[in-house]
Amino acid sequence: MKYRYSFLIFIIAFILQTTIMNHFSIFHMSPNLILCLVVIFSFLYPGYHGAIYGIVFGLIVDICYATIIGVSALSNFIVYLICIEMKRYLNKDSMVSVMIASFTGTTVYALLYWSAYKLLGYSYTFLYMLEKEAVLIVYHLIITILIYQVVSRHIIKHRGDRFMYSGSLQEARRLYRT
Amino acid sequence: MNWLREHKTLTVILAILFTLTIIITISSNHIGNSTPLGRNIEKISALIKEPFSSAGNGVKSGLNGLIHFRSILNENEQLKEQISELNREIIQAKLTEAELDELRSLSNILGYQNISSNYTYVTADVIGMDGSNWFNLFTINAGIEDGIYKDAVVVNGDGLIGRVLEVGTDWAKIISVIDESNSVSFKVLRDLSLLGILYGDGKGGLEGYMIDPDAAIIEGDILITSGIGMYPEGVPIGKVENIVWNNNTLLKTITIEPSAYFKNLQKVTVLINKK
Repeated sequence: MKYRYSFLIFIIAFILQTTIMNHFSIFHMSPNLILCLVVIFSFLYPGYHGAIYGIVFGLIVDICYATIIGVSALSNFIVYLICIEMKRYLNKDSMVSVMIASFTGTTVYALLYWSAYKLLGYSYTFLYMLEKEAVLIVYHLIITILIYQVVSRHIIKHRGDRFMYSGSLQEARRLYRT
Repeated sequence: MNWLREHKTLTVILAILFTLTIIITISSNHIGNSTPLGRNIEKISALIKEPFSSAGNGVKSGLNGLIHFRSILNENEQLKEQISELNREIIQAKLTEAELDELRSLSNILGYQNISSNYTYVTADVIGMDGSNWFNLFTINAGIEDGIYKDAVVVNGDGLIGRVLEVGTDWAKIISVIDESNSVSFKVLRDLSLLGILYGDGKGGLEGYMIDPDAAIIEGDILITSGIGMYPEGVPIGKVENIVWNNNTLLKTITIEPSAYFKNLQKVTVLINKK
């Protein structure tokens, strides 16, 4: 995927996350769409989409809605690194793998976010973080599966895929029939 | 240098981690003071989000109207009754107004300041909320141009919301009272001599303690701001949910249910001190 398209997707996610998604909160929890996209882009796509936009949009979210700048960006970046590592051991074409990546990403993000604020003197308890995460993991799993359903078709058609024929589609069909 | 060239990826990762850690450290020492770049980002973000936020609020209100049609009808009937009752109270209040004016003029002669007349109000729409689920920070579409300043107190129809953390020309960032690191002084509405201090409990709620360990506070008591500190007197904060005697501190510890629901704010009022 081209970087300008992924940038557009991240912008849409940022606007939705901070405006409309608050109306769809379950147990007072609204999903972190940027985190879901970081997981999807890091796990499924080659390149640095997850790292670059994870940091950029993490910083924007922090500037606009947090007391301390950089915590979201740092958490997104570490989630990206973990997803890249997970890609080596999991089959990225399986939905179960994407669900595992989403679960791990959400848990790691929460732990990092909570630890950073705890270190900086905030009083949020570990139990409170766990209560929040239980709901958020389910919410993120659903969203990641929905995004995966949309983007997975594009993955099969990707030109860089070594198992795919790189010529025209008509030619590929002719070759397949013969 | 050779090591850096041989381990390019690792160097880049470490450089990013180091830079972000530096940003976190610096910003944690300058909370609420963005750089000009940060302010511009917030301004652009507010500009982009405002129409989406209005559309979202509109759609939600419309859907609520359709789904809760029957309950809205009942509420309408109740409100009509309430209006007629309030009208009767207004007539009664007008009778005592002249008396109050006399007392006010007397207090001015004696040199007392009337607190409520020291504030003007600016109503603003919430145009964006924190999506992290941890904090209740939000942006409103009013700023310096409307007279808003840093640390101005924010309320809504239910009670105390928080204060202005940061302000731009036409936007302001609000931090809720449950995320505050500062304590808030309160008094009990039933008996205004009962004073206490409250703060965020670390679980998304409020807790506090009574200054007098023998204070006769009961569950269900309504708490209002005491006027000590930045918050003006008389703003509802919440209701006492639970009272526990703490053997270690020898104080009455209370859990408070905030009167405002922070996750679904659409409009807020900022109190502007005239001074």
